[in-house]
Amino acid sequence: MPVTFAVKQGGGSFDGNPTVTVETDSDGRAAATLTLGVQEGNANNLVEADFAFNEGFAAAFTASGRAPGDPTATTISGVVLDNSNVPIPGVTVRAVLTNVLHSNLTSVQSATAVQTNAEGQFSIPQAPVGFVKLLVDGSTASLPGKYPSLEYDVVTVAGQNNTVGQPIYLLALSAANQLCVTATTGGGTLTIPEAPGFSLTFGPDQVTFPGGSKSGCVSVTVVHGDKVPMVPGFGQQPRFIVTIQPSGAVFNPPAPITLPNVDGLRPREVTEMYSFDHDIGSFVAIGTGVVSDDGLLIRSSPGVGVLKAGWHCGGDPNTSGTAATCPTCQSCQGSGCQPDDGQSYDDGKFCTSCDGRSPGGDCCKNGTPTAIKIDEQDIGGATLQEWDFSKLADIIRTGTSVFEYTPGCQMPPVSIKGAIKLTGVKQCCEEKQDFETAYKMSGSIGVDAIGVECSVPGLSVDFLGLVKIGLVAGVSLGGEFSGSGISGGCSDCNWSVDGKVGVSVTGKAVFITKIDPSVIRFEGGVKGDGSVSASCNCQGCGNLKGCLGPVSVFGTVTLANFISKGGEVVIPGTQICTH
Amino acid sequence: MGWPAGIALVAALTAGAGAQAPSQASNTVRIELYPDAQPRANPVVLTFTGEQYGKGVLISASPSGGGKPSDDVAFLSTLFAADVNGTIDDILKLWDVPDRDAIRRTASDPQAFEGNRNFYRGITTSMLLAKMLYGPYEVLFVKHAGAAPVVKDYPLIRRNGSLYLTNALQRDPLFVYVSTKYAQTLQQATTDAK
Repeated sequence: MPVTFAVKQGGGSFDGNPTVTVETDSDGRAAATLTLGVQEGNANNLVEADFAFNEGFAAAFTASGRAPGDPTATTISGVVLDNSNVPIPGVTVRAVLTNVLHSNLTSVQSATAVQTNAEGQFSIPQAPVGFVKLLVDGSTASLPGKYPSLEYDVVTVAGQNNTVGQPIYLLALSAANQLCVTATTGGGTLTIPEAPGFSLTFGPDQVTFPGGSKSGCVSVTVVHGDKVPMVPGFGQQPRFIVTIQPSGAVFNPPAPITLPNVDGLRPREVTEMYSFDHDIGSFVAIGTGVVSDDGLLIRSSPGVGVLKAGWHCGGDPNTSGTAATCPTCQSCQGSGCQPDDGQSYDDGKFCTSCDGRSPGGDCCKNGTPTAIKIDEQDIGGATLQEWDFSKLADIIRTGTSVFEYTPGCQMPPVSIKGAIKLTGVKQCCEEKQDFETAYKMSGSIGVDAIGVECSVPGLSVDFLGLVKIGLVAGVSLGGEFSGSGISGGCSDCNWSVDGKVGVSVTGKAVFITKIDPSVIRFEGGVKGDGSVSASCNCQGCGNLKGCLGPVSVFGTVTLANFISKGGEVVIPGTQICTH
Repeated sequence: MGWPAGIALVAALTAGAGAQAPSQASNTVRIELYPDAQPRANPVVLTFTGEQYGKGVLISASPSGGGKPSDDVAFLSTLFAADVNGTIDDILKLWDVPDRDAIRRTASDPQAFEGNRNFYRGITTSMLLAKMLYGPYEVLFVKHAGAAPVVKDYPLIRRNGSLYLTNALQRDPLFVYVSTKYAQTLQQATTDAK
């Protein structure tokens, strides 16, 4: 992407030109060197950088022009504060002239070290002129606690009072968050209780401390993002930064690190992790990290970790768009969500899996979380088994007892025959987290037709007030019950048998005696029907429903002069209903 | 055939309902019904158009009865005469035409025929007690005295001015109930009057 820098104020130039256009590099960065104008002043040089089709404002940069003066009058000044803007007295500050910017390899000239006063201020007289590395040594601070050391790169102007442009912040190192190590012992995983998710893991002989020692203690402290003196690279505005001390300590192999995913990167997203490299004075990528499945952590990839002590942060800034809102099994591509079957997925249930055959992890298919319930698995052939329906027979017998109201009309015991097919199956039981054997039941049982005809000598029915009649009744009974369900397995009680038995009564009504003396003849019969349904399960039989009866007498009476009267008379008490 | 739904109340009373003696109004037949074994209050009252003849009108068993053919009493006289001494054909002539085949089959049974004749030969006197109009039908209630006193109802239909017996109401549950019950009531009343 071409970016154009243009001098807007101050009379400066880019190699003699008022504008210059440069291409962004692979990190999206563009840089140009401005030669200031001849006028002295604060922020009197203004440059804007812009690119084609930019719908926003151009970036603006200012620079102050200083006219060089007497080199012996050159000073460097500043103020050292802690994280709460409290001045830190006693901090030692040195200025070392180097032969090239951002390098500490060769020192050309050193100025006398100074210490900050009670207000945290310092001033280095007769400071070197040129590329200067400012060394801030917190170890001499007179406040309680332990403070780290920092380095700043400064270009000084002869005869001027030079500053670093902002306060120098030193954070008191947390003595609690440290882990000591030697060439043979110590190490472990260093965490920060107030910053869950952070960890740094190292072992014996992995750390080389400044001076070459293999023994020492590594500490870690959370740094406020707005107090980091070095500008994060790549447009980052990291929300979580730590400083690992002592500065200059080297980890070999790299120490694995985890950081809290404060930028809300999506689970399993791969991102970059960064450290401030004091050798080049800039944040640099140290390798990749991966967001954990639960989205809480960024974990350095295998082989990646902290190489040098100093400032560390992780995670590219979360891009705008819908990446954070894409559902499981989908990921953000461009401005939308696309299926991402490479993601792992599990619903946490034992009895689901990707293929629905055996327990295991679930998966993504066509961008959809897929957790197929593991169905029953047949483990054997069907067997026929006699079933004990004695309780059911009792219920039917009770329901049909209405037809047993005289000693001469006893019904034989109800006969029930049938066969149930049992099939062995394996059931996946979520609660038990295991497979259980169950027997699947299907089939039916029949109630054999039962016929009985009996006279009813004890019964006399007043028919229409004309005659008294008796009954010769026949009773038939038949029906079928069918059942299904599973016995055993995950649930011990989920089978049932349901059915209905029908009952019918037919018979003759016989003339007993006259009420009306003119009766010549009676012709008639008896009828009635009904049905009873019942249900049985492993807890017993019940749910008896239905009605039996009523039984009624129908017929015609022929009276004197052959005048007939007929009708139907319900026999009282011959209907039983169950609910 | 079951009782029609609209007759449920009447049917329910069949089992034990009692009835009060008929009133003396000449143009209506009033029947009061009570549930069995219940206090004699709040009766169910059925009223029919008709006539009640007080102590009754004597019916003589003669072929013509000495009256007009359209006269109730004359018809009954002819009917009873046929029952006592007549043939099947004599009886059939007194029946409505649609009923004659069925009556012939029944009367052809010697046991039935003799049973009917014996019943009427055992009667000493017959008194017409009431006439009730039931739609197009006339129902005559006659008290027969003899070895087994009984009040019987005779349903008639008038065709071209002449009366005929009919079994058209034999399956009419209201008629069966009311006629039977009223006959029993009349019989009880005349028995109590002695």
